[in-house]
Amino acid sequence: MRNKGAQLSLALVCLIVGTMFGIQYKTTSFYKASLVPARIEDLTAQLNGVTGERDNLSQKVASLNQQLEDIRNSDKEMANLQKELQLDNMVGGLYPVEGPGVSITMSESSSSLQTNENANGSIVNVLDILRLVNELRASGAEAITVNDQRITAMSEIHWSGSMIVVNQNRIAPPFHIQAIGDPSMLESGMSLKGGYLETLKFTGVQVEMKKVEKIKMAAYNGSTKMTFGKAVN
Amino acid sequence: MRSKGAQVSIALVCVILGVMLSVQFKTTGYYRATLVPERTEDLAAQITTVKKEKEAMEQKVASLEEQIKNTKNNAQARADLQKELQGTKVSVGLLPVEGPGVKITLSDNPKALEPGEDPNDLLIHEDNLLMVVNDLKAAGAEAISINDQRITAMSEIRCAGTMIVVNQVRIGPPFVLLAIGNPDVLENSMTQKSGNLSAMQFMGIQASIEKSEKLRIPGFKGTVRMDYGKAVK
Repeated sequence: MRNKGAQLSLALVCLIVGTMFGIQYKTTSFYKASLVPARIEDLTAQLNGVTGERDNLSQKVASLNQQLEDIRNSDKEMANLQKELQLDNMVGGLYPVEGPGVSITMSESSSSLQTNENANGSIVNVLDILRLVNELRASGAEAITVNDQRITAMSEIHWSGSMIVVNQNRIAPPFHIQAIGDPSMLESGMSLKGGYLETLKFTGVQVEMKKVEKIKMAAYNGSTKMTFGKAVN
Repeated sequence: MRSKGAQVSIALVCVILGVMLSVQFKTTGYYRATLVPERTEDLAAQITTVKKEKEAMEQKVASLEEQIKNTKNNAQARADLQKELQGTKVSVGLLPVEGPGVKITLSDNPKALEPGEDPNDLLIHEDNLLMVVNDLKAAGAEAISINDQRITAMSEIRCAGTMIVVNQVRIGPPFVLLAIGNPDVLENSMTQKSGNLSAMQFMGIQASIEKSEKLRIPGFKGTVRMDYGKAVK
């Protein structure tokens, strides 16, 4: 009787082990074969390729722009218009600029990742960045970047799944927000008592702001061509 | 003796089972959290964005080459410059623009204040406008205005007492937002159930959205200047 009971439990355990073997094998082979890491390697290579091509073209655009500017500047009448064009592009985020300003870094609290947390996910909210950029504008910023994405009139700061996108480019923490303008004005505008930067610190976000003598910002990379809007004559 | 043998094998099987369980858990957890499928989705989205940017660069190169070629003819060169200047001013927000899009009207909660209620709960705040404008940008708007104030790269949306300040101009409710772009796309993404507009309606703010065949959005009326930022050569 005792013997039979032992045999029965042994059989039961063997059954469980067998089933688990099966599940284990299936899961691992599924992940290995179909998704990781071949697919990711593939996509990474593709992304690097396209990024390289874009950067080359971006350099070409800069040199052609310079060439065109030089030709126009040799004509007195065109030189004035060219100057105006450059200013408009700078103000709109379509031309690289450099100057003094402030640099703000928002990093998440240093507590380590919990089991169910997503490593890509962010406790810094879209609204946090949106408000910060808005306060910089109100404090007299002339040009702003968020993780090197230049802010234009139509730049969104939005969720895409668990990631934050700016200019349709995904950005990840820590978030670096830079602004060109009068450094003391920007700093005092941002560090008002009860201001946004102060409240942010209470939510477990580490915020650091420093004045910078020279910030260099790239132009917006995307297209500004309008498909629906037309100039009013 | 026999019974002891059975006990040992059960113990052995239990150990194996335990080890397998933990391995299984670790493997699945690792793949789920860090690699699949977010990482691939992420990469695919990033590739699409960079490809678009690359295409924009290609178009810029083509247009610059054309313009440089045209500089041999002085009149043509001037016409090119004028056209470029106008196009830039339109997309940067300095000139009026017209086209199809949506009109969103937002009014404060009309409910009479009851004792103990905070009047702030019934009002539209800067965050509300900031988020709606941001959603419109994410939905592909080409130009946006709030109560005739054109949104540029450096337009702030701030609370000032009971009023809101945009482009340093005070505006009050009702807030009329115009956005030029694909009317269907704009309407659909703004009226999503989980969207900010729905959330505001839930809070009692009166929000309506209507598509329009032709909207006219004015240009920014302030002065365009950059005192701290310089063009990068």
